Amino acid sequence: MEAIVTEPQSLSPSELIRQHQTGLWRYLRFLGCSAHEAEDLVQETFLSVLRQSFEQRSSTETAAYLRTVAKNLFLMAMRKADRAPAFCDLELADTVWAEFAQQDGGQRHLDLLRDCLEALPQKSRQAINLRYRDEQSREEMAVSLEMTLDGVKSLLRRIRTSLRECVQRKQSAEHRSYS
Amino acid sequence: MSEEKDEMRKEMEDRLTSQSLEEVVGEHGPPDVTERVLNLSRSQEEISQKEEVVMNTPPNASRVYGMRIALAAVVLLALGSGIWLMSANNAEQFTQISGELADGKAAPAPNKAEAPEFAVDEVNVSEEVRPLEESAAAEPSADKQRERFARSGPTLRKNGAAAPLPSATASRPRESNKRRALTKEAAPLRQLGAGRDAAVDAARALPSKELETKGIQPQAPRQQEAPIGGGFQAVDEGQGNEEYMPINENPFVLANDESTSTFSIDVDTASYAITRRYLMQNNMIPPADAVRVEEMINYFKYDYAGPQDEHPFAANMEVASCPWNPKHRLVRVALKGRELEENKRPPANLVFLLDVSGSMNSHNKLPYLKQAFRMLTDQLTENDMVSIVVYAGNSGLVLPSTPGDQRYKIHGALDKLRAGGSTNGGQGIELAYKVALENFVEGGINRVILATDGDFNVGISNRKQLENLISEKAKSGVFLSVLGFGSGNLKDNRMETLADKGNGNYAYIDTVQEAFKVFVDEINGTLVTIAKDVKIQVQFNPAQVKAYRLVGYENRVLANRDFNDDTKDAGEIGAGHTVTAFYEVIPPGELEVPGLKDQQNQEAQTAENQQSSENNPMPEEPEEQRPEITDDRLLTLRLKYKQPDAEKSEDALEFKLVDEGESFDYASNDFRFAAAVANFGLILRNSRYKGQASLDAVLEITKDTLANGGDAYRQEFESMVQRAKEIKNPQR
Repeated sequence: MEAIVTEPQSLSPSELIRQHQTGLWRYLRFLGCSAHEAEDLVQETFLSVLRQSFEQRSSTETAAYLRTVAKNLFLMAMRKADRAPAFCDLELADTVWAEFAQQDGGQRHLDLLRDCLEALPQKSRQAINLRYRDEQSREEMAVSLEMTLDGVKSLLRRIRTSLRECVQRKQSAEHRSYS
Repeated sequence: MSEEKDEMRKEMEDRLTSQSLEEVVGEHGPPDVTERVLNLSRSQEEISQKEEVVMNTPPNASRVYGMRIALAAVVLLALGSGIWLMSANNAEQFTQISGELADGKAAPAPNKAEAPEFAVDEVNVSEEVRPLEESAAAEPSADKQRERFARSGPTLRKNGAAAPLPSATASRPRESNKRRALTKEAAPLRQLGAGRDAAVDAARALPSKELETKGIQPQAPRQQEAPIGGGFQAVDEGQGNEEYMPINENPFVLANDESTSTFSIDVDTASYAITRRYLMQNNMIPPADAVRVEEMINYFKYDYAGPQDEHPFAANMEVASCPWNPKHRLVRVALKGRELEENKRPPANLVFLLDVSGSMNSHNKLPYLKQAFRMLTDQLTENDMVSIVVYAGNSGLVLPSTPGDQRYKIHGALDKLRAGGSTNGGQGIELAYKVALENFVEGGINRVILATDGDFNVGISNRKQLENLISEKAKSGVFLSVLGFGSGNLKDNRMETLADKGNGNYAYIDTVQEAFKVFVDEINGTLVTIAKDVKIQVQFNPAQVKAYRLVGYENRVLANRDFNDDTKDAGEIGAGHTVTAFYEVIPPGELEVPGLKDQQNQEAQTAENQQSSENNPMPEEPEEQRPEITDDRLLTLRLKYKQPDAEKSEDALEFKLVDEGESFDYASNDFRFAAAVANFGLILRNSRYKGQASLDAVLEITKDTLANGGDAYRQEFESMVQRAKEIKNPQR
């Protein structure tokens, strides 16, 4: 996990982008952007920030500032496209995001998720692979797994919940060992 | 209320888990936008600096006309603003803005923060400011355009004088009378090509200073390497997020083990342009997988004889010693597609599917895209129809089907394109095909032309679904061509696959001159398909051949049984296209066969090359037994193809080749030039099969073939070899 930086930073633009782009992209995906939309908005966020004289503070504060800029650009784009964000309660969304992202834009979360995936029963792993690796639709999965559509939906949700709980357990264990 | 919040929180957490799984399992990770942002940021700085320079430079005679236009624009803008402001009862603001304008400040610029745009067309500003009516009324003729671009075209040699010939070749006949061409003698120069050559000759006479004063840029704008403002770091203009398909080179095959080799033709040229961009613009040796030798060779036109019979193409073969391994023989197998008679191009129904997402917002992307499509439009007539669909940003139909002679309308729609904004996705590709089918021209050209830097958010994100859609539509007669732009994000591997599935060609536009080549000089080849699913099969005579190796075409190799299988897709050939392939042949008696000791490698390679067939097993059909060769021929060539609208192949054409022991020095000019290009490709790839190849040898052969002149593209090749030498040996 990256060290928590509280001291003011003075990063070059490329360092700034490299440090924060992943977290920003994930945040925008979380708010409801497709991968490509998120990519475009990350680009626009940095362009917009680099155009202004921008005072860099700690890594956490910088990340928060970039998120605010990205969120505003996202909301403008949504209005223009006459679309709604994935969630109406953006305040709650920010809280949930902060818990997920911690100080590294969610990188540690993903590492732990990889560990949890390895421990997944074979059938569950197969379902996850069909959905996320082979990009099968739920309808295709229903045929592959000989299940109903609702069955597929609840199976996937169950597996995701168990994965999330697994990650949370591992995170708590890590926090305990730090303290 | 709290329960509702809990529910919502769970939903959010589930979304995060799902999104993380997409990254971890689906490998759809976050992109690296660093280079792109820095480039864009720097470009914006440069533009504002240029604007300042223009505003602060006293006018001279040559700028008076431009200043007048600018002044008129400012006055009009001020009047327009004044009317608007007055009507809004903002007289105070109006006075203030008028005062600023009177003080000599620039007209109010669009708010960059809201819409980062590249409205400035750096390459051809004079045309951009021309009024639309004038533009429509005074379209430059194709000849004038040709002359203009041929002049500015591929880097001209600074000194037009012929390079000194090596003594061994000085007295050599230009074309050997022992040439093994199967068809009649070389066809006369194409009219188009001859016109261009004349223009190039005229341009060559112009000193470079004169070219500059005429506003002609000999090259695409080079990326500045100076650091950008505010402590920005210099940017590596290298590979970035570009993706290239790994190439496993074809190994030598013992003719006694397998005497027959089959592959599909390929007329793509993108790899050459990408290689050129790396060498000439980025000053770098390209990554090995970006160099596809067959595309390097096929970038050039060769003076092969065209068909004299009812078939759409003629075969040309030649054999001589191999320049990178003189003990080996080099066999050229080449096709020449039938040329269209002048003004006989079938009517075209074209749909431009254009990427205007934020990543296209770069000096070498959207401005080049506009230039390219303007050039294409200028070649069209009232018999042709054009529609424009964009994806990302303002997705949708920008221009409904419009007759090709309404240029002002088509140019206007192109000019209005702006990159930026977030991606809207939309049903870009489906809409493009829908429009193409609605305007389908029976017996004509029906084609979607996709232009992008690598963002395939065309409405279908699943890779397989997209490929299936494109294959399906190709069957309905709507073909797809793909044009790649810019650097840093290029998905070369996917673009090539899509064009392949869509029965189209894939070109990469790194300069405006390249757009000219694709859309003006070779427009018939680009648009008019004269035969599809063209397959080449070569059966070697084991009595004459110990081993053989197909140079390049790695991703075009077919299983031998696919030759007669009409369901197996292969490449298309356009009007006037030439396709060239080389086999390196080891004669009997040679002891060493390079790479053959590495048996495991060879087996893996063979397995991979035949993978496509094994993945889709056909009902087991025994391969047709070829009659054994009993005479003294080196090989038998068989060709298979379908008419563009047919589902069944025509009967195979068959030719034979006898090796009469020609040395490389006496081979035809085209043979030697193409061999030099192949040789260069092997060096850039650092191929294990490059033998004694050296850049010096490539340069010597190239110079020799150009001694009596050569087109500008071949001269540019010489500069590329020279540049590669400088990069590899910077001290010289």
